[in-house]
Amino acid sequence: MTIYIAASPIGIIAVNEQRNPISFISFKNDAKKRADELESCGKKAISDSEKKLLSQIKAKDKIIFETKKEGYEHEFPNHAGDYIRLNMLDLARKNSILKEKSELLSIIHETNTELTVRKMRNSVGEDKLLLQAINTTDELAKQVNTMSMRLREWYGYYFPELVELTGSNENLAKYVSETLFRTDVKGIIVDESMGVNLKNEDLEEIKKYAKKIIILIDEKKELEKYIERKATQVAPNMTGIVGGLLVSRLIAHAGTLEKLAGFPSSTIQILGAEKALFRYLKGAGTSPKHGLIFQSSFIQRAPNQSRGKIARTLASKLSLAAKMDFYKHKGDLGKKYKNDIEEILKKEMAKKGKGKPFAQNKKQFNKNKKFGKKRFSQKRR
Amino acid sequence: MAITGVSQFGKDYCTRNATPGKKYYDERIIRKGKDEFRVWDPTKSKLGAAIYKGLRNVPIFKGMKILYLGISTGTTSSHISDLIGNEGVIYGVEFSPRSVRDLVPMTKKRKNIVPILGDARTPEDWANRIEKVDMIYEDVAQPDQTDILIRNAKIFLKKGGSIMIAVKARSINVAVNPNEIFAAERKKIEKYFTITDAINLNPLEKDHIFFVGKLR
Ligand SMILES: C[S@@+](CC[C@H](N)C(=O)[O-])C[C@H]1O[C@@H](n2cnc3c(N)ncnc32)[C@H](O)[C@@H]1O
Repeated sequence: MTIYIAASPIGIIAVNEQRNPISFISFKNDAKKRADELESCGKKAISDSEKKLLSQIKAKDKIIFETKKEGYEHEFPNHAGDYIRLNMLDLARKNSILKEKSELLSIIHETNTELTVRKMRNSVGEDKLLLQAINTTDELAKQVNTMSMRLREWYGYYFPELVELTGSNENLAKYVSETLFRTDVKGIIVDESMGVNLKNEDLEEIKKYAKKIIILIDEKKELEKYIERKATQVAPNMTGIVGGLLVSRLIAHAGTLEKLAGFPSSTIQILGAEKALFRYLKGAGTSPKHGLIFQSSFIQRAPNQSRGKIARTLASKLSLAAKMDFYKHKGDLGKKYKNDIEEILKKEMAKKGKGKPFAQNKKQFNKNKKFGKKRFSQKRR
Repeated sequence: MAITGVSQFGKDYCTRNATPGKKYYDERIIRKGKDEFRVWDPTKSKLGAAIYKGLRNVPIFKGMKILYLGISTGTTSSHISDLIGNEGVIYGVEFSPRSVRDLVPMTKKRKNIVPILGDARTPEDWANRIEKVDMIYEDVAQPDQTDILIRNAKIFLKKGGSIMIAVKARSINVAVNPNEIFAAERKKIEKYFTITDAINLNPLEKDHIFFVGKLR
């Protein structure tokens, strides 16, 4: 005879070919225990309750489980599952699992809530922490930019020459928060300043504001250090190639490390350039060669003519590394991949020796209509 | 014709709030004497939109069991929960942990909604947690959603059971005319079900059609 076995929140049942129940093991009346039981039933090893049920079945019978079980056949759905999903209330009554009809719903509700909450607890991977952190650095950068623009305007009333001279936002904020007064500056003829004379009280407020900017800049730096550390744990192979910041951006863009690991290398190559891809698909423009990975120093250093090739190489190594990172293959292949790409880059640079490195070749690049001109020039500034 | 359990006040379709004093999305509340009604927002719920657009044959009754694929944070199911009462149950399957995080608090108030963090494509992972059902509601916005519905119906739908499915043309194929997609999906569904209603949700939901059907 063939016997079918399936689990449910109230217990495990065995039925025969005529779909008649021949044996039933009920679970202990406790949501956590029921959840434990169902989790065990979902695993390949035979659980204690399943063992108990099997001991009540004749040895010569053929047994078919509803889920994969070591040493047994399985079929989904099977007769036992069909039976218990249709007759759960009857079965629960016959086995005195409940007094009132409404109790069945409570059992099912509590067991499922427990199982769902358990799964939720494992659902936030560390890759999500990277995603939040990298997005936070972007927001901090934006905020620093906005605030610095105001600082330039504000402090510019008092000392326009210095504002004009200081390119970096960080340097300006540092100067204002530490030095503040015009008279303390060397090298600028302060007497000739076009600036308004402000009272100490006015300047103090500007100083406070500059200090806030410094705090945000420091926070961003701290966060970036954290991201590098974390990325080395979460995705060591990818981080070995391009560093934690870019890895986190790639993960953030894909949503999870799992999704990133599932992408073919052609997708990784253009990740972040979806707009350009869309334009291309609609018939305007050419297919994008690289998206986020554009930020990596490999591509920045590559000669103009070789950038496509380097982007392809980089994307394919990253794609392999992502798979290894996700499936937890050990070994530090990131470094090896990095060297491989460096070798190829060297060869490309030698081969086209006359081609200047990309960064020095701005004009030609700007002319090159294949790439988003505007975005490029914005980025370089 | 009225829909069992759904009250109409002016233009608004409402369900009687089974949990007075509690709201679940930013729905409006209407009070009539001692009774409290939640307005079914047709811009937030596709079943709400279908009713708004004239669906009258809604196969939802007190005490029925429902499998809901893609329950998300539970906007639509909160109203279905009002309709089926304490004896009914909604098995709500959702694969996004972020959505389930918002769903679970509601299921603690509404005990007839059972939260299941799982994938509608792999019922073998959660089949041993539920019962067979009288109706399957599907709104997963996936290209293969009709196949997913049919597979789940074979496993969980009782004889004579019903289905409701929201079909979003854009999630099936962006390049093809929606009407062609609707016709193709309809054909696939009709292999197993008799379609009793097909409601175009324009303009409440762009390029969506809502099918109601019965197992053949
Ligand atoms: C359009 S929303 C559903 C909205 C919901 N029906 C309502 O009206 O309140 C689609 C949901 O289906 C979920 N989903 C998509 N594919 C799924 C799958 N294979 N299994 C489970 N849930 C899925 C998505 O995460 C999303 O929450």
